[in-house]
Amino acid sequence: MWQYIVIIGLILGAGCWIILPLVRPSQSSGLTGDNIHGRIRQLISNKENTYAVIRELEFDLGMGKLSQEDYESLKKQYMIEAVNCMKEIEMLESGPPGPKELTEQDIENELEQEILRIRQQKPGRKTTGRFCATCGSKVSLKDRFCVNCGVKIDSLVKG
Amino acid sequence: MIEIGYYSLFIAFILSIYSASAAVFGGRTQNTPLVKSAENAALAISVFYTLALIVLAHALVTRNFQVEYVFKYTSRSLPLHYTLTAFYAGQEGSLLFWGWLLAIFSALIIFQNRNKNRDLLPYVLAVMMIVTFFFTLLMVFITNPFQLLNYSPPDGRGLNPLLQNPGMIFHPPTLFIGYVGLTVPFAFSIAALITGQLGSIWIRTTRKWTLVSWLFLTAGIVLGMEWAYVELGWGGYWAWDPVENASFMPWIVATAYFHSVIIQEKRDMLKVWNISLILFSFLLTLFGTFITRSGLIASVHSFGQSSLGWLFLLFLGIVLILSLALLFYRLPKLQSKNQLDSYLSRASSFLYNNLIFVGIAFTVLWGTLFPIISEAVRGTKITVGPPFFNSVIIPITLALIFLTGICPLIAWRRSSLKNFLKKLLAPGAISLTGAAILFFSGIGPGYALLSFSLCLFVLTTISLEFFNGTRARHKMLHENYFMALWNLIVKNKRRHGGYVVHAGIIVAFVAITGSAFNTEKQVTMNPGESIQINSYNLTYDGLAKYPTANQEKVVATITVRNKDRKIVVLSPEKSLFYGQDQPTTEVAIHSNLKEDLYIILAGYTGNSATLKILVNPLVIWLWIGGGIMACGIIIILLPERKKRTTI
Repeated sequence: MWQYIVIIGLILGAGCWIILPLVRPSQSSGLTGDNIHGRIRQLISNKENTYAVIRELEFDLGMGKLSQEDYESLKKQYMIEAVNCMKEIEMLESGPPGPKELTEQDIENELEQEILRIRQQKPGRKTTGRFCATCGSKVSLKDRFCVNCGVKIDSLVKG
Repeated sequence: MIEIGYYSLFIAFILSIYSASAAVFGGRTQNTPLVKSAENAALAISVFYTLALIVLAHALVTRNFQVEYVFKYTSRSLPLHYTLTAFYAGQEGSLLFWGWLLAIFSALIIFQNRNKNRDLLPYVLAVMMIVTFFFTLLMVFITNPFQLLNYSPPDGRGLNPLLQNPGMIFHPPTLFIGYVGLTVPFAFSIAALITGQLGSIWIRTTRKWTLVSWLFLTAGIVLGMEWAYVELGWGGYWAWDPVENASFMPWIVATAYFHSVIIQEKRDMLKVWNISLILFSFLLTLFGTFITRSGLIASVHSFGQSSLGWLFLLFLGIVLILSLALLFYRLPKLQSKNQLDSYLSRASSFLYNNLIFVGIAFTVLWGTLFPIISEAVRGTKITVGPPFFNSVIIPITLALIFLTGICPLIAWRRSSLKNFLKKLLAPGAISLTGAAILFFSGIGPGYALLSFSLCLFVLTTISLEFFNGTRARHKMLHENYFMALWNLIVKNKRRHGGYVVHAGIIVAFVAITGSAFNTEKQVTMNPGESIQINSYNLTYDGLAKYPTANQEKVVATITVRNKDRKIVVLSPEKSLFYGQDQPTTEVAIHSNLKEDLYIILAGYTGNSATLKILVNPLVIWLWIGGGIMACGIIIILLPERKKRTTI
């Protein structure tokens, strides 16, 4: 007999647990309903991959697997890919009608500066107590873009 | 108590239907509460499955022989640890274990993706729930693990003696985890196809799932080899048995996937190929279950045989058709604009290795299915054995090993021929020197010499990669050598963990090549007689017969000497478990880094014993290689210490 009481209790408990979201909808983590968010995440992922590729190119050059000439041409190619990603992210984030759109040259310059700045960073650099609103990474005072996900630093939250 | 087990499964069955439907409907209509409700249903399923698992485990431990499953697979004399392993010794128990893993993995996916991949999740959940539905359906309506007998027997039939081995504790669960784990990337790939989010997000999300599944599959296969080696008593560890092949095929296809997926992540290419690979990895796990259960092909695992195999085939067919239909529907979105930078690049070599991996998988599939195909076409069942597999697989695998050695020498994107040849010089010279030494020490020309030379080539290129990388970091970043090596590994765990996995595979392949030099003798000896095999002198001391709690043992005692120095006393056995008709063999093994001395008690008459004696070179390196592979995967899986901040 007690087995049936346990089973009925479990069914009732599970039933309430399953119905709960339908009667008391929460605000958290819903579906976006459009593909823009997914596209931005994909672009950020592509941009990270491109950074990783550039890093590998440098390492392959250092290991003597790649000639200087090949390194230069491939690096340029991947820089252009990163620029295109950033342009598209910029466009999707600002939305139509957006603020002043950055030109390709602007973004390329920013990217070069970003890479140069990251390379010159010493481990244990000072960071602010602030975090990227998109990925949660800590960012430094001078950061213009999040070094992890590439989102512009005006979308930050205080830590 | 038993009723709770069955009703838990029944409720899980109903909930799986609800969860799958609510997830799909909620996903399509963007109804977040409905998707949340589907998630809660999936979480409830994991609770009900855990309850069912506890109920069956309790029945086993308390030896409730009224439960048919407990009666069939345990007995009062069975030690407790084997009583617990009886959980997955039979069909019903292994289905319950499989279903429980699916339910737990589904719950983990929900927790992992609470705040990400929200558009993919409804469809991921739906796929997981459909697979859960299938397994639960089998247990609720066809093969109930909680089926009661209408009487209470005083004792059970006991566990098959071949399964009473420590291998039983680890081999089946590790393989199950590997098989079930592959459902997760499959579910994500289907969700990506449905939603059209076909970039590399789903791949990155499931990377760890795929790696862990592969790790468990590898461990399961290696443990199975070890078990076969010590338990089956024929002197080998791999016989191309259909069920061995069934575990090998998803492993090899998943290995191909690991390589090709890197090209998608870096170049946004091979999307169709990657989805196909993960789809077939999953389907091959179902195919393996079909082979085990159908009894269509004779196998050493035929104890698991039942009529369920055909249902697995039906499910496999449905999944295949629906998945391919989705894939074709999304074909236009899966085309890539990018091209490979050069044919002489690591990316290209990954493509070549993928072709070889798939070639190996197809060969194994063909050889496994050949008895069925031959019977359908010519009316005669022709079984192809190790000669077929060895003659086809060995040359292909040697080509694969060569590529494994070439890969670290070339850059990811583009390598000039001049740079490549320069890099090839040192490992090429070392492996040629090694080949010459092996040749002059008596290893004649043939596959074995080629294999050893190629293995040396790969190990040299991998070692040089670590050496040169460490030196480059030391030069470029002024790190000391230890830190440079450490940072080299942790800054690119995927690449260097991958090299460690490669090194493990090569070490294992050295051991496999060693089997070309096995020595075997079969003799009948009287007490006090001796025999010489290679450098070992074996003296047969006599035979002892005695009963134990659950078996009757016959044990031969053999003293092993090497140049008059006593090394070890070995005791091969034959055991007859009570209630079983066939005696089983317990081999005696003396193992060292060079070789295994492997003795089987083939038979006995009076005090004389017939012994089968083998000297198997390098076997221990197979287990060491397996360990190295596991270490490599663990390196890749190490968590990130901090987010990437350097370029």
